[in-house]
Amino acid sequence: MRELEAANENLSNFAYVASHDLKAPLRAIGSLADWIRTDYADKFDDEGREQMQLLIGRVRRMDRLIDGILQYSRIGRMSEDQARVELNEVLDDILDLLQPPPHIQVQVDPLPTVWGEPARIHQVFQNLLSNAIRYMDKPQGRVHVGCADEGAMWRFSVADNGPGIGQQHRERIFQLFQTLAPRDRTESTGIGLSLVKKIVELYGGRVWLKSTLGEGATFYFTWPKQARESEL
Amino acid sequence: MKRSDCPILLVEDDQVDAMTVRRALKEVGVKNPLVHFDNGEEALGFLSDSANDRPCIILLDLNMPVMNGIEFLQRIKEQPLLKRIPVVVLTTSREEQDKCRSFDFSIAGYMVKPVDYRQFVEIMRVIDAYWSLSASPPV
Repeated sequence: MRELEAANENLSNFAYVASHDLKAPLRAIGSLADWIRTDYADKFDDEGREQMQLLIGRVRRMDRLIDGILQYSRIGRMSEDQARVELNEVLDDILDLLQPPPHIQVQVDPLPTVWGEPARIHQVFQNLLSNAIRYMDKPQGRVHVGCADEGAMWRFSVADNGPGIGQQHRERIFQLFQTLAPRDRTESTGIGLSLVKKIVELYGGRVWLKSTLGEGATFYFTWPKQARESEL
Repeated sequence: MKRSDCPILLVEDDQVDAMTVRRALKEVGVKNPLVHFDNGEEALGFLSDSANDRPCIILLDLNMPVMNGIEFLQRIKEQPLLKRIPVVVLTTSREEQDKCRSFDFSIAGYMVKPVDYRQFVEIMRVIDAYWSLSASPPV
């Protein structure tokens, strides 16, 4: 068990250092591409301009991927400062940040206060909500955040009336770097749901979803009412 | 910058990052001469030679060969004439440890280098704006 823990620790340190060192050359590529595009603007034809645009877009995507790996490897690595988290406030902050477009209505039921590291809980709700908003395909989008009491656990839900997720994809979406839409369309990194799963499971909860294709999806996760300090 | 005749000292080992700083400063209209070294040791040599003008600000990378940013901070903060020069750390590192160790040396700011060049320009703009308003130690 100790060896396993050490191996895990090594792996997350490795991910951290590697991601770090990948950033410097990436930044150089981004800067050089930006300058070439600016300084030689009159030398490019439309095709050349488009290629430069794609190049810079890919640099940004790579940057987000590296940030995702960093976030993922940090879970469970940093000392997790437990605190009481007022979820109603967390949801207010997230909605301020995400700014859902006017055609999507987000309804949030009254939520309890939970124990955990505030930044982690924030990440869980933010990822679920941003997915619900980003993939919305209906002219009148509805997103609903709810909560149910299950004894020792709270069961939270984030429901949307978006495209839904086919049965065959339900395992895959929680894996690292898996996306269902082409990346060019959504600029998604495929890290969000794996983060959600890793965080929720770290706290002793579980994540699952129900969905009808074409009608929407509901993501559920449970979170313990009591802090389980010994495990964190 | 309050005084445009005073040099800005850049300590940075990555050639493109150094070009980025130079270009971004030019773009925001900073006229100060830029003196650039690849590592802390050479920068320290420059600062220790009284024939050289003392810089109004030091832009410091952390991860460098020969003498890294933290060691460089340690050395200049030991010297009465050098310890007042404001130092802004410019780094890739978001690590808590690097932030803490840098602020332990009373740095004037800590900026994480963005991947997007446009954001880099904005950071330089803010640094310039701040040090145009703020008083600086007499040089």
